[in-house]
Amino acid sequence: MQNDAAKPIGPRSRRALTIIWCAFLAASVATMLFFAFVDPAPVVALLRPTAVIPDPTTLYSLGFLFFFAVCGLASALTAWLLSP
Amino acid sequence: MTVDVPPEESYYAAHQKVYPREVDGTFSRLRIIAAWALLGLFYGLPWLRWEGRQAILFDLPARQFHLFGLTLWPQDFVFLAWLLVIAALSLFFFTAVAGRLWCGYACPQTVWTEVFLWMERVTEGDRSRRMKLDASPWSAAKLGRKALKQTLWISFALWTGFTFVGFFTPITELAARLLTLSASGWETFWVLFYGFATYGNAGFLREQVCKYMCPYARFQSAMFDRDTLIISYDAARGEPRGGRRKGVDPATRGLGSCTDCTLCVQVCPTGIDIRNGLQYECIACAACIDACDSVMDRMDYPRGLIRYDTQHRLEHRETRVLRPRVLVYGILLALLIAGFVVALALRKPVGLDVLHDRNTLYRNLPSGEIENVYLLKIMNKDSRPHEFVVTLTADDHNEGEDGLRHRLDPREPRFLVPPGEVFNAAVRVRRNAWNDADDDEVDAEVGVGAAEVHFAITATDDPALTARAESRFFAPKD
Repeated sequence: MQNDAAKPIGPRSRRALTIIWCAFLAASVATMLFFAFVDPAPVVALLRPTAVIPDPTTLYSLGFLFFFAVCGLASALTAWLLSP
Repeated sequence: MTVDVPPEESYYAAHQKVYPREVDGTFSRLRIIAAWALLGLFYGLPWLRWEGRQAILFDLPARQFHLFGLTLWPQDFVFLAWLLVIAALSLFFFTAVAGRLWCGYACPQTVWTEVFLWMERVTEGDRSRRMKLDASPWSAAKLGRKALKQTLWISFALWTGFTFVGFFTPITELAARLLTLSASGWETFWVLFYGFATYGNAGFLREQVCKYMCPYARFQSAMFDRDTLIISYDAARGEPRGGRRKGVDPATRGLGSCTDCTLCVQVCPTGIDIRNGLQYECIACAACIDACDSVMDRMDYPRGLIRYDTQHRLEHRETRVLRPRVLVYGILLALLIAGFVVALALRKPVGLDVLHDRNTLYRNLPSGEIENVYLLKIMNKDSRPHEFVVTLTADDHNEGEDGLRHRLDPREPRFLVPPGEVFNAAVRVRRNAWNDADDDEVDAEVGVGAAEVHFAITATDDPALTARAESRFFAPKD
């Protein structure tokens, strides 16, 4: 297990982590701004009869994950296109 | 931009695991105090109660942020944004004055890494033992130490994740739910998510976050000038470096003060050699200062071969603390903070929204009057309950009986609104039938007469607590 000590994280994983991290930062800002102006309560009320999405926490969580995914896509594309 | 670099690997140098050596001294003690204070705040604050509820709670489902006695609503988003601007500018200010103070003492990445390093030290021993352990083949002892370390790390990371979620959902109830395994899926998910992030960042990535992932590390040098305090190696005094025995006058050997013991390199959490000058990897933790001072003491040399100093002083020139950059940051910061405090003090703790009844546009009453129904959303952002009285104000044409064409029924409805809540109150407004003297517009879409109607609410116990809103009154146009 010598490798474990010498090199915990390879350049590829580091690249992936950088992409994820930048997406996380941008998604946090986007989530904060979006939900400051959009209240998910009416959406919850609208969906309640169908029992698909029962509580606001789910919408906040899904909102964040959605932004995370989109920002991650942008982040990954940028890294990919800029790579030599 | 260079083109002739090999693909993929080109962005980063091959990474060597850094084994920071333990260090004791003034700055490391300061760092430990800072870490205790900050971690204490993080882990302790969610448990603090204030006026019967959690003192700091970002209640997302209710869309309220509780900060001690203050309740912020989405409408107060500007305050949060303002606070973030103040935080950013403070960072600029302190960076201009004293370099990367943030990185060395306050950044969560640094603080949590310190805790994880401490756990590593407790389970695997000091630097040389850790290096030996990693190089040795797997054995029961190695497995035991590594397992113990992972247990500590994972428990601490999970506790961190739990605390983080505790800022968003009442922590005592969350603890009860987690203990009885009845937490909701999302709560569990976020505890694990944040716990995993803590584990990854503080356990594995460590200095690599600062080196490769931190935006601040990249642009902080823009705030630096030659009068900024940085961790600096006094090359003029230290060079030429070289080993010597204690008591030997270095001058006779043609040596400087640096004994080339490499302790400064061994203690560095980012694994750099400060003697090569200021590098962007340096997080200004001052561990090398403590290490070097201890050697200087042992050699009976004056301390400070590595020290906090400015570029100008190292060049034996004047250093000015008050310079345009610092003054501009300082004045801006002072203005923003003052503005924030004033705005917060003047903030109206009451809000009013008026919605016209959606189902019925108007009703013809037997008396010949016309009635409209409105839904008032009365927001009491104060920390005390208030009774509000609703009135119509004379912002529109002052005609009809007692100066207003519209009148409330009942005359002055009152509603008691608990603190931090939105109260939905239905009120009826009446007026006499439309007549030609009224010069109101005709709403083209609905084909009825429409007039503006202005609502006001006032707290009965505090006339200064008032809010206004307007809506429209609909009536058939003959």
